Amino acid sequence: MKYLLATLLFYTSFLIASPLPGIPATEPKNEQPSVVAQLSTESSLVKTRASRWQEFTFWVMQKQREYHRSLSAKIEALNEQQTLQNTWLLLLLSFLYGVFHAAGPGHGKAVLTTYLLTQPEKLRQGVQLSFMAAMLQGITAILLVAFLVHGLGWLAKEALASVVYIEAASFLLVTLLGLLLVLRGIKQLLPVKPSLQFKPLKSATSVSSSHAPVSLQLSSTSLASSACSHCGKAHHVTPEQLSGGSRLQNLSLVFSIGLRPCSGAVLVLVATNLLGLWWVGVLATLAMALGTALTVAFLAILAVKARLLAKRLIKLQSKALTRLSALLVVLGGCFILMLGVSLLVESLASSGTRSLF
Amino acid sequence: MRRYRMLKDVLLILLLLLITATKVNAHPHVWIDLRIKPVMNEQSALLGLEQAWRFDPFYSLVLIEELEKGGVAAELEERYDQLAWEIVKNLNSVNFFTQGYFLQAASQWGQVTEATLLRRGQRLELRFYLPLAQPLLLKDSSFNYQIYDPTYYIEMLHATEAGLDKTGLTAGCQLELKAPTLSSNLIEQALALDKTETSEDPELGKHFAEQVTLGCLE
Repeated sequence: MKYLLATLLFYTSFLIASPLPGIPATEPKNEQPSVVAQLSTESSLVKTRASRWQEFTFWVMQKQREYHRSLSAKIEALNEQQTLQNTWLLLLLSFLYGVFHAAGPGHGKAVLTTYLLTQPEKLRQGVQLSFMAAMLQGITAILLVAFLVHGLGWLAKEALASVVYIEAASFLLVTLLGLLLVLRGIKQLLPVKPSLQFKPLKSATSVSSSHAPVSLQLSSTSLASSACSHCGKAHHVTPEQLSGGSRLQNLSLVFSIGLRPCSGAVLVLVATNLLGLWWVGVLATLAMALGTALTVAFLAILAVKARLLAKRLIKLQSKALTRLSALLVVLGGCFILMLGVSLLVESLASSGTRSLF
Repeated sequence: MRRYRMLKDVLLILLLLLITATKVNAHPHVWIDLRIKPVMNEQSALLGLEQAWRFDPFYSLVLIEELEKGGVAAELEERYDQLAWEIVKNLNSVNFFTQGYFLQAASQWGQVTEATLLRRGQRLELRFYLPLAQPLLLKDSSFNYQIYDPTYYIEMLHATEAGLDKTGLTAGCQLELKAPTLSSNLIEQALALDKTETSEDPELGKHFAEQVTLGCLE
């Protein structure tokens, strides 16, 4: 796991260090240097006022815009010259597009990080979940375009417009996930209550800071079960409930993120297909998904680390850890629920209204 | 204590991520390369702007497919014409995304009577002539224009090559293009833009628009 973390860090620092690695040949005239140059000089002026975060997000946005442009330039080039080199460059570009698109704001990451902050998932699971979600996102896009365009013979324009409906489905799942979390948090709060008076005292005295690495491994599941060894009843109920509920939750997490195809991927698929390069588009979409997975996994690691750290710190002081973590589940669930509802309402309200000119 | 610091950092990053979480896809999704030719008469009066909008490759591809599959091949040209006028009709309601200023007043546009949609390789180009409702005498003051989609869904910039056509200018007149200057406030607003929603600031696109000034020496 440490190696994975190190690799991820290496990749991100590599990406940040080199703005357009390996792609010096993409048509420079498409880059609109005037604006970019203006922005960079301006950004140095406002550096004192603007927070680093804002700058970072804006930088990501600029990168997304750049990659969006160079993607289409690359597909044009590939259409004119179907060389292996052009194909590789397109795949590399798609991968980077995925990395940056995921680094920008998006609902998937909010759901994932909140989920991982509140759930007893381990690092490995967090990474697995994010990879599954991101890859599913790419596969959804491929299946969607394959079905609509190849299967039903829809126009590219119609296929692009259909994304709105699938988005709505994914937002519905986000809402559902939030609801699940809230329910589970409340359930967790109720039965554990009586044992609370004994347990925290015990753990506070027995776990000293030197034992911290051991307690790091403990998820709230195992905590709950150890707590419940005093009160037989909950011991049987909680772990099974948790694992059963977790699977459903994990599934709805993966689908709530993965069901929503990246609009960039759909665009690339539709465009390559129109040029008779369907399989290149499929590969590009998978590369994009891989890039997304990398960023999302990095976020997942951050979320899990944060939760573990918080747990370790709180444990040394707080006397109501179990209750607190259950409360956190409820709060996180509420956040995801609200996010899902607002996205759903927004998407239903605006569906179909967006057409150019 | 080191752990506290680490926790604080990690939590801060996550918090920031969550704050911006609902704001999906902040960058423009379609772009148009502009080529603009101001048309003047011998009396240094500006008559209108000849505009050529080249759509980005993705959007062009999608439109081309729609045009080609929209009916029999023999009527392809008519469909191009039809689409051109449809776009012009829609643009009419948004002032052709073209904001002109003269003597601190917004310019009024006349009726567009010429419009064509052409295919240039893999890209589509819309050409039309946007006349001023009244010719503007540029002797005392200069004329400014900006072309932008207020929602910033479309990014509209002058083409880096031959974006400004000076062949229609009277002698002694000059065209100058100024790139947008962005403040951190605007950056924040741009980031808050959802791809399906219009911004709180109805003129967000304006801040990302180039400004062209046409002035004449006298």
